[in-house]
Amino acid sequence: MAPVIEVENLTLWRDRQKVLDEVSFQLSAGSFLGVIGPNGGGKSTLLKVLAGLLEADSGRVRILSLPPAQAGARVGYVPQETGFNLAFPITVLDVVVMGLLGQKLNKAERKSRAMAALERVGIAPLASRRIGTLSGGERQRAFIARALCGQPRLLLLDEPTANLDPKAQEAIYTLLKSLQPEITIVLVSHDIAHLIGYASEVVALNRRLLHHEALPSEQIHCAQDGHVCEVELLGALLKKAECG
Amino acid sequence: MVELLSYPFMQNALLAALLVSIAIGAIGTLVAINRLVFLSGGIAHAAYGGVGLAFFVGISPLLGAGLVGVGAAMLMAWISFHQRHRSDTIIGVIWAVGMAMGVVFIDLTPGYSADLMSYLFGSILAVSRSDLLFMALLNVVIIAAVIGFYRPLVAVSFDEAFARTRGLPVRALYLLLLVLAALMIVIAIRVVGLMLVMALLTIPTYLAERTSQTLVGMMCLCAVYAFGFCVLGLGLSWFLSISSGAAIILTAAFGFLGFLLFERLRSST
Ligand SMILES: Nc1ncnc2c1ncn2[C@@H]1O[C@H](COP(=O)(O)OP(=O)(O)OP(=O)(O)O)[C@@H](O)[C@H]1O
Ligand SMILES: [Mg+2]
Repeated sequence: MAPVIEVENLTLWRDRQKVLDEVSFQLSAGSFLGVIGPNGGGKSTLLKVLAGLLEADSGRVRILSLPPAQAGARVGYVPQETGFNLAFPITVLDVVVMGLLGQKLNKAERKSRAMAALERVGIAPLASRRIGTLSGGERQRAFIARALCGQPRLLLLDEPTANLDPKAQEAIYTLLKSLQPEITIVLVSHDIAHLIGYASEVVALNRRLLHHEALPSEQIHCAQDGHVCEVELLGALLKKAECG
Repeated sequence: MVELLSYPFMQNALLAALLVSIAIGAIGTLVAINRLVFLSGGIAHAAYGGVGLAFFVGISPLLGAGLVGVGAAMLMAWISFHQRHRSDTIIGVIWAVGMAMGVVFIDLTPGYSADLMSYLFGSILAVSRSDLLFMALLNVVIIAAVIGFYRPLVAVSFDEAFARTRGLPVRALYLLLLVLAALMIVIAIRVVGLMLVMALLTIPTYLAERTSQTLVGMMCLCAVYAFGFCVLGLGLSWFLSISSGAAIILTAAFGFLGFLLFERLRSST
């Protein structure tokens, strides 16, 4: 089976600055990839390329064997910026329904799909609330539901747990894990401790891709001491990314 | 009061108020929520160049304003795609140049001086049947477009990047939004004039934004508020013999202040 993501020598410039430099990696179906790296390392940029929002200046990117701009319907994207107009008079349900744009469904189908996605992320009772009245964690889940309701094969999440309390973070990681292995996941996060527990592999990105560590499944649910050891390993990886 | 309604010009005025309120509700809401009020002000003032041009070549001023307004809207859409961070400067330039062109064209039109104020500050009591027809026609276009493209327009307004990942033609929708805004401005010119259209774009939309749950609700409420302000302002202007456009705007401003006070009181108790 072809990999879900194929990236070969991806290079991208912004404002005469090389933001991504010859990045190459592949991700097979059912994986959970964690992306770590310093601020400004190009993590969000990489995700935008995968979501078809930015075009590579050179190199080759394929999502499910298609160019990213054509694979959009199979990809769910949860952006980092929450610079939405929170005064926007729109209900949580209507935000989630946006995930179905471009699919030919009638109103009832759209609603039931969106409700199912809200159930899945555990905020169905908030469906008729205005989006601006949700807490940060609830809103983040609403955006995950919006990405999920198009029934994607690949889910791209850009720091969905930033600003969340530990319990809400845990809930989001548990939710992501429950989507596997049907949905392949790419998660940008600074939260190394959680990535150890949930990701199947990790890359460190600082303009160049420094490492692509597969975390063998026996190490994912490893014992306490092994756990610490893995955290140190990833910490070292991150340090290297920051220096490099 | 009732006999006032039997005057044809009063009937026309009320119809005009209704038409402008519907347009403000349908598209002014989207303009406000996209924070495009300043840009719309630019389109409105550029449209004045169209009024002058129309007098100069001898066509209907509203048609002139419509053509130049739509042209300005397209220009601004194009500029904001390519020069986003300089767009306020460019809006300012188009704003001023449009006004200046209007003045120059009118200077060049022999023997014309009257009635100009009415395009700047509106004269709802002088709206003619043919004006009404033109305004109704533009309203039909606006409403058809808003209904036809409702979900994509909302998606682009709420989260442009996500809309793009769903394969929506984001730029075309943005262009559509600005062109519809230009049409709305042409409708509003007769009622409040292009100098005052900003107030009608901001106040009813703000009040509606604060008091509705959904965008459709906001559109309807916004139209209701705008119509209320127009009718009240019209009454005031009649009984106090003051300019109608200014009376409408001041009525809206009082409504705005009253609402702010009310909110302040409610949140402090
Ligand atoms: N719109 C833009 N125009 C120009 N440069 C940009 C733009 N967006 C991002 N950049 C630059 O690209 C580089 C990578 O940015 P990116 O947002 O991908 O970093 P990141 O790894 O996601 O960082 P963070 O951890 O802070 O989210 C940064 O140096 C940033 O300044
Ligand atoms: Mg980022």
